[in-house]
Amino acid sequence: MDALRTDHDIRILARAAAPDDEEYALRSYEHEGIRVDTINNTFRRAEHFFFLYAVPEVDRAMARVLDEFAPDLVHVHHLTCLSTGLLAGLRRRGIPSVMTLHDFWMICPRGQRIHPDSSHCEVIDRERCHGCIRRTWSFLFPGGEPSALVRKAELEMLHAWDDHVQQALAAVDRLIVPSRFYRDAFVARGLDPDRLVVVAHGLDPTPFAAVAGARRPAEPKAQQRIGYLGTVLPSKGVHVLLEAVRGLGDRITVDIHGEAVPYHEDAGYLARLRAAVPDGIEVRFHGRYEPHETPAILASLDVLVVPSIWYEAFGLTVREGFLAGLPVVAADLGGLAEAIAGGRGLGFRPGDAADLRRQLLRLLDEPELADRVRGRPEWVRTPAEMVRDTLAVYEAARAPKPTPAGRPDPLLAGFRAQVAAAGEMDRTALLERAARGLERLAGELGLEPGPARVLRSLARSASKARQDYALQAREVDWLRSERAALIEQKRRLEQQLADQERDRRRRVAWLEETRDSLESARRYLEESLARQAEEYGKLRELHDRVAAHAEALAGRALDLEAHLKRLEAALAEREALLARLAGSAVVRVAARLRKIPELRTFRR
Amino acid sequence: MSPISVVIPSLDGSALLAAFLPDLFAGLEAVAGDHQVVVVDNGSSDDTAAMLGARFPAVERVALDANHGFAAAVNAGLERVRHPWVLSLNNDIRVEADFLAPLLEATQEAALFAAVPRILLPSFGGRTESVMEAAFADGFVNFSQPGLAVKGPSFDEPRPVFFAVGGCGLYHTERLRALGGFDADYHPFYWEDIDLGHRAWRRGWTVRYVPASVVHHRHRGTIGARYSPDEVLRALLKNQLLFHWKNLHDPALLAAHLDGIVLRVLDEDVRGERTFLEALVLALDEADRMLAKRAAEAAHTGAVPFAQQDVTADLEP
Repeated sequence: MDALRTDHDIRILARAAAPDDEEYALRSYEHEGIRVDTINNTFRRAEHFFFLYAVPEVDRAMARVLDEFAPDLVHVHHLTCLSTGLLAGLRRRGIPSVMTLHDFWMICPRGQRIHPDSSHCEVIDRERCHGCIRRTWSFLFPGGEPSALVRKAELEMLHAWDDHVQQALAAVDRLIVPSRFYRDAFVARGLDPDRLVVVAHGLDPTPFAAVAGARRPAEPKAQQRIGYLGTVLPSKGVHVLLEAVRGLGDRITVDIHGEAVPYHEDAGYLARLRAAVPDGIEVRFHGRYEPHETPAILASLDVLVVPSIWYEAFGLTVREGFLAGLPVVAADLGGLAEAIAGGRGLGFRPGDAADLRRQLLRLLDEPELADRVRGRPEWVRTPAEMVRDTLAVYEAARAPKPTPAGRPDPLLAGFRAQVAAAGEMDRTALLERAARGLERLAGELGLEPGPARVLRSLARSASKARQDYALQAREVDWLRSERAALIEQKRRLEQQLADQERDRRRRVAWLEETRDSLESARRYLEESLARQAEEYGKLRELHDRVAAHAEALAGRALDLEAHLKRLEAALAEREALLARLAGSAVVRVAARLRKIPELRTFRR
Repeated sequence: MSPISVVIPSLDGSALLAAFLPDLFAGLEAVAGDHQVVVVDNGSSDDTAAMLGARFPAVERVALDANHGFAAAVNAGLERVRHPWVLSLNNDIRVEADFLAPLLEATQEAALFAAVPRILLPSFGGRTESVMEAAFADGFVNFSQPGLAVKGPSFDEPRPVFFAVGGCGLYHTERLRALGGFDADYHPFYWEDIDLGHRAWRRGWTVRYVPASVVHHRHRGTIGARYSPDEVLRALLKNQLLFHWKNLHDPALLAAHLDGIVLRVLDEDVRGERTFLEALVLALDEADRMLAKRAAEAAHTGAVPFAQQDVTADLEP
């Protein structure tokens, strides 16, 4: 800036975020003798995804600045929180334009091609973007999971947004990218390579020279000081560094310099980092630092690690490390890979803590390697060189443009310019012009000018009151839609309730039916139990009777047996008597016995 | 029956011409005569000239240096017209083989200014595009196309229509010339055909819809491809306003129109919108050209088929 201001008249246009000021208000102040205009954009009226990119009110405010300052050239650094309409506005006015692409905002609404799940998006896939965007800006997508139809509409909106940014970029005369990697990435998205120019950022080596000079070649130390410099954000991969140094506590310490800022609503990164510090290792979080402190911080380190997991555009910290004569270990990704290429630094696979650890161990074990990867300060571009390169781009942007292919279309061009001019007028000017014109028209048509005067007073009506009114009207619209949504929700809930009631009734009926049939089964079982008990009683009685009878029979059997024994005894007695008698009268008796069969039986 | 002339304005339409001109020639040949076909090349950058020369040498080509719009292109072609009836035809319309005879039959009506065929939209359920009605409400003349509400062809009976939609219409050459052709001040597009129909009715001439003649409009959106939706909307609103300032003469209607303008601005303003207001400013910037034409129009007082009676009744205190 200082190098430019001697020969050029400079003005800065930026965004303000003042919740108490009027939305889209244009304000000015001076900064080091340069006029800075700001447009207030707090997104309080954002109600649609496109508000992140295109806000007609902001376009009009920017148009006012352009028309007042009438610059010879505009160098756009970023349009986030402003509006992409600026680019077409410059083209319409014939003002040459240059835009530096500092990140991927013109490709990826989050700007860094990092998904909320921390993976980086190698390929741009709008299906994937859809989920990411819904997650990131959930307040712009109310109503929970989208239906298939809503999803389709939102995807179409994303494609329309793609067309929108492509058209916006098409209006820029020259695009500056800080690395070849960025140039290739934008060419891959269809940008004309002839308009893309790589201009590396310049760094003043002076404050680093003393640091680099004081540094001795690596000498074995008990503990090497590993450092990180930069904003503490998930995309910067500080967590990868902490994971990589696990177990190296006796050989290194870690210093984290930089402020932790919320990343898309996520404010918990620093706390997670603190919790993730491995046991037995000294990790110091130093917090925010001012740019002028950078050389001193680098002087306090032995190794600089740049562990980003997103496609860095340039690798400013890597270069600062080079200027300070530090060995640099950086993720092999995007602009970083380009900065450390050719052995200027040591690379590791992005996000791969094990690989980073391997590289750190190599540095610790091979001091001569550390000396080899101390980047050469002379490789870093100086501010003067950057200014020279940038001015050359300005010249190219201002060069007369070749006539576009195809026939001129004066009808289209004329009407388009008319529409654009009306679109850029602010409301008051537009209303005053309409009022003047209508009053004249009424006169020509022989009509009372009364109604036309209404517009004049409308133009004079306090813009604050009108804005409040418009805001109220929008709020009413919003409340109406909320009401409609709630009514719809109520209807759905009632429907659900009715469904559940019907279901409940069906279940109750079924349960009652089941209960009844169980009841009758129970009754039947009880009855049959009673019947069986009765049967059992009868059987028992019978059994008792039979048993008594059996006992009686057994008694009789005993009697009979005794009787039999007695008879046998009597028989034996008789047989003995017979035997005695036999000696005398055997023959006679035998003859008689033959006549008495009963006695034969007894003899056996 | 007399031969006719055909005027086709075309912008980068080589492929469409190559596809549909054979149908046109077949349709013309169905009625004997020395027909004339003029293609007005509205500054095309495609191979229209070479294609016409090679494949349709009978076509007369009028080359404009750049795109001057539909109205100017038809008017440029009109200068070449030799016959008493001229068909104004878009390059994206395919005619049926027997489209011409019913149109010529309609020219028997002495006061006829234009006959419009049944124009079907194949990409929109084959609906009928060319039945045009107009009504005055809330301070504005609006036109409507009742045929678009019905899928497939509708409106089977011939009837008077408010105007012959720009895509295809057979015009009385001398009367068209007397009106100065389409008014190119309705730039870049829209309302020039409505203006023409309205002025014809005021002069006591008639515009007839002839359903026995059928053509197909393969809408390919020349306008949509070149102009953004915002621009199209502003062109439509701007030219609607200009139409009133040129053609509305009844003091009650004019007063209602002025009120209508203010009400629309107010209505937009409270909603934080400004599309109509921007179109109004665009129209006011061009008002003088239209106001200058009012006197010539005021002299004619023919009846316009215009649903305004009940509305004017509402306007009376």
